[in-house]
Amino acid sequence: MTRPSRRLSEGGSLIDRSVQVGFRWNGEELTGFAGDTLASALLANGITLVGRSFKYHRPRGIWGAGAEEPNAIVDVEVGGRHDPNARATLVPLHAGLSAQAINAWPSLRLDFAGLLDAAHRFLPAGFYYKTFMFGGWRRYESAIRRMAGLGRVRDAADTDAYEARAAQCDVLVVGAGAAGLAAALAASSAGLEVILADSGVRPGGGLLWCDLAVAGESGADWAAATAAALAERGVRVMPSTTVVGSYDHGCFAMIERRRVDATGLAPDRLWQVRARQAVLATGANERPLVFSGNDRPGIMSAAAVVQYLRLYGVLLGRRVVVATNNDEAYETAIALAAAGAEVSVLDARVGSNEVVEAGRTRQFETQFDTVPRAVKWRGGVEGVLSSPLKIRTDMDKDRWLEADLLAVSGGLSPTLHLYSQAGGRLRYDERLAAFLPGAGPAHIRVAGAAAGHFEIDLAVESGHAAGMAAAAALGAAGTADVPLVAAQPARTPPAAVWRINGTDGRQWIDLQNDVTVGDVELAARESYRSVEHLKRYTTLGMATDQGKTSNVNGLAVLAEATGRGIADVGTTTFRPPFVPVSLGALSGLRRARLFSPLRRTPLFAAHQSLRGEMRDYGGWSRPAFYHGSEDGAEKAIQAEMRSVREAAGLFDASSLGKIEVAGPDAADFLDHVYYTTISTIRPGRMRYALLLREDGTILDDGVVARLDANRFLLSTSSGHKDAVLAALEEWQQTQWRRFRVAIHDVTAQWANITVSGPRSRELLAWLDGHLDLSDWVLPHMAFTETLIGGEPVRLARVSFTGERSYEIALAASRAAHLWRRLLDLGNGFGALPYGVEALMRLRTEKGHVVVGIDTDAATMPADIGFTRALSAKTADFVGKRSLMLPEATRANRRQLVGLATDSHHPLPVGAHVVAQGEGGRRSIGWVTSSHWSPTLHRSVALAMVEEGRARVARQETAALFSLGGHFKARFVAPCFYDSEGARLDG
Amino acid sequence: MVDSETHLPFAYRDFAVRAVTPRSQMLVSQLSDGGAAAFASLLGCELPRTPNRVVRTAAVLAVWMAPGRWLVVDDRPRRTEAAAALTRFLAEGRGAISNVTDGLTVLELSGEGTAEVLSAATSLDLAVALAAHDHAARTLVAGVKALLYFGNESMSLRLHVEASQAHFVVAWLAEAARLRELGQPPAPAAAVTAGSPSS
Repeated sequence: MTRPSRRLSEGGSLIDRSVQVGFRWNGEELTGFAGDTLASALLANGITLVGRSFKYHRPRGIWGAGAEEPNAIVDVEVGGRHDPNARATLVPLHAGLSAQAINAWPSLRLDFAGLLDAAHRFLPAGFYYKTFMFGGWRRYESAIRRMAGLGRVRDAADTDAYEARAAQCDVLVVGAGAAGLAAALAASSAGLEVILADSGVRPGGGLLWCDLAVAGESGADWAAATAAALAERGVRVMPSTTVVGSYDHGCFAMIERRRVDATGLAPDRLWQVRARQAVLATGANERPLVFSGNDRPGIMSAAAVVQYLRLYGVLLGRRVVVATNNDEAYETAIALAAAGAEVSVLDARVGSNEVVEAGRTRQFETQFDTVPRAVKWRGGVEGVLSSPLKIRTDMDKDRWLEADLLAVSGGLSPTLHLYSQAGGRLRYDERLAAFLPGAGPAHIRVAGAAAGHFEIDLAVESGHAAGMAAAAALGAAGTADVPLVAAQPARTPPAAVWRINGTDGRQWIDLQNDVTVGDVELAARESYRSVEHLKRYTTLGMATDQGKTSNVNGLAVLAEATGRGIADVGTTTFRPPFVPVSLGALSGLRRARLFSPLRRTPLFAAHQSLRGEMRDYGGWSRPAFYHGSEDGAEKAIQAEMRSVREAAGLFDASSLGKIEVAGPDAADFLDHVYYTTISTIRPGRMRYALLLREDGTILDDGVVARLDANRFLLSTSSGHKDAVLAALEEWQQTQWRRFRVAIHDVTAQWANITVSGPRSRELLAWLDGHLDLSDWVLPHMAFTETLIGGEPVRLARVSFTGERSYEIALAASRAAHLWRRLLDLGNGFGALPYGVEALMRLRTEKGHVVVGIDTDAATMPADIGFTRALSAKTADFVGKRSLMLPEATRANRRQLVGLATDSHHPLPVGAHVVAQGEGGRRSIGWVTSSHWSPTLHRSVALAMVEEGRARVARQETAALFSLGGHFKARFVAPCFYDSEGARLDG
Repeated sequence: MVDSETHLPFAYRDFAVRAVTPRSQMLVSQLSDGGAAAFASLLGCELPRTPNRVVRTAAVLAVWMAPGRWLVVDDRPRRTEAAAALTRFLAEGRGAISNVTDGLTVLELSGEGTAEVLSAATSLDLAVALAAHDHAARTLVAGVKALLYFGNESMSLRLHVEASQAHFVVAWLAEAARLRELGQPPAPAAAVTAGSPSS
């Protein structure tokens, strides 16, 4: 297919004509120049149709030249990177880039789903809410999911390496147009640290493509010289950097797009910037004019048309109608005429001004009070119906103008997304027909077009003033003068033209989400008067362009439909990010092995050398089991369990939290914090203890050892140490400052090796013959500080497996040596190291709960069997009051029970215990732990079930249900093994 | 301490990380008025009273951690008489001491690239938090709780992290340094001291 090139033989300040760049569009080989965007290169190659619309699959072309682009969402692959939803206007052209249209099948030109457009009468806004309720949503879900969405993400992993950086500055200036540069000059002249971020590849913004002069130079030259001077002054000038989010406390998120070539780095880098002051010089977006068929390819933003002409040397039409309601579009008309195009201007306003008169000298005619009402379109624009704006009494004044391009400007909408995200309010300005910044956070100032200063001289002045004010707010005084700008022609405010009626056909407001005037009116008729409801009902502004071109037009139509002013309708909430951001950029380094700071015990390397299967348990990398000589995990786990039940097992319990609490009031303090009485523990003894939240639910359990009169060692669950430590600190610092206690986290200082099993005492005796391990010296729940092999250790008799057990705590740096010695000695005893999976089964056999597995955030002590009277403890303690409330004492609370089956197959964890009630079957609890017990040769399970203890007493049978499966079990006491505890001393 | 799976030291052209192993690290808390002063006299080093400050002598360094709580890093050999004095101090209930020598890994970060690499690991404004040689900062580095202060060398920073997470912080810093190196223009060959982590 041959298409006329639209590239002029000269011009285009951003392209380098000496470097041709080959790329592919829908499989076709094309060329552009270095410096092109994908959009400019496509347009230069005469391609106007770039996509199909989201809902009706209507043909769409490029509308804009930047982040506001609603149509040109394409699939891009370059250098091994794939972006399924790239905005063609923001994609730099690289050699080998391959792009294709999305949301079209079998091809962009012949899209079968385009038939939906013919059925549009049956698919208005909100039709899905009214339609897909019949027969249940799932009937339609798969078909809708296939049709919905834009590009398709590939399964392959993103192998790019993403970085993230943090930075701080005194003043962040967002936008390096005339206002932003002036602000940066002013702020930096006060000696402040300034960051100047701009989305463009070169600083200058509108100065790059408007025929303006600043300080006696062309706008583009002044911008380049100023940026260089700023960098020289120490300002961090960051081109190709978009500020995408504004958050509390002066925090901003920026995405820097770098050229990374083949380094393996991702081009996008996230910056988190803390700025004491910010100046938002973010410019303004041009709005479309809303008229019949205004979505056709070949109808473009007037500002974009002049950008493609002056920045990329692309003349998009030879016979161009420029339709406007403001002065801005005259820049486009002048540029087009100068490039040789035949130009007609339709100006909705009545009466000329200096800007218009300046245009008239450039060989084009302006018709006032005239607007486009329709276009003749057959694969491209062929004509524009020009017509008086006011209600027409004389149809003869309608006139078809021949044209191959319609450049429209419906006015400017200041880009205030960041301001709004930071909590700034917007106010509607009738004169400018735009929302402007209202009251907002003190540390943010808005300048230039973003503040409604669309004239270059006012923009520069406002930028300078904002920079000086930011400096003054920080106690510094800027010394920069206002850059000189030549006097500008007098302007006329825009005409507020929100919609143009008169011909059949839909009038499009939101091009990306296919929302029409009719949709907004329908929503208003259905009483969606709130703009937030309108947004959700019609999806207006909810596309990936976030309604940059559509919001204000949509609000105006809603205002008209509901008989209100635009100011009364208000705006929706702007949310970050300003432009789509890749998930990789947000994650930065935090992926794969750096995803989460998984903790390691001092024996991590030892476990690896033993072929431990390392998994995440409570934020610790711990061995699930050891790949031994047995085949497979199940056999390995069972072998480990047998070694504990029959001989001895070695377990790394170093991950258990260890907190030392010392001081003359330590016992009192712990009595107040713990549910369990701590002060009656004798030195050298230990006690199982529960820690509650204020609502009486269990925060953690563990063992408290009394080292001496004023020193205690708290042992916490591996994953709860930080929460317990925080709770202790909070209570000590806020409620009980009178207690003289010190709270020290010593978790990582001590390794903990558990020796458990009937031959554990023998093994320890072999380890160190000097140890007195007799039960009268070191009975169960006793503790001593002693030496093993000359190393200071804390030796405790405490058991989680139900067998005689010894916990040996010693300095972390000495743990590997002791572990090796125990393994060597244990060989003679049939001892094996055992992992967390074996421990979980062993403790389930014994009925020991794990907080967070067998309990949840509603579990109270009585629910797991701690039923002592509250009067048994004299001290008030955290959560006591809550235990007296009816919620804590109601009879049908879920309680810990055992579930016994004769099956070899464990009950599914999470299976619901169900009961037949008046309303049918309902869940009365669920299985919390469930395993095959090689010790008992049957499955064992723990569950939390309503009135569980009574069901055990009544010897009821439990009916269970899980994922379509039904099971039976018997309610039994939650201890399956050695209920008398004889083996603790066995 | 650093486990054997953690690759240290490593160095790039202007950034290096190595482990430092002080003889002793102690958490010290005051339990009675004058407890801090009594401990300071035992230590031979004042305990800082201002938040996030460091006091140091040739071999002892004390960092303010919380009201009435300090981390003391002592590089002197153990002395019998000092141990006895400490025992008396504890017995009198004037303070509490916990040994955390193995519990905290100490890393030394050096080179002109230190601040930039750290900016990939923490959002803290180091120029403010560590504005002076006697400042310390407690913050998150790579999402891990960390203590930062200047080392004895003017261009180095000391970083204490819980030993169980030290491997993660080291891996993060190594990756941040590697990516930073990739993103920089190639240096003259002579200026490169190491192109990849070296153990």
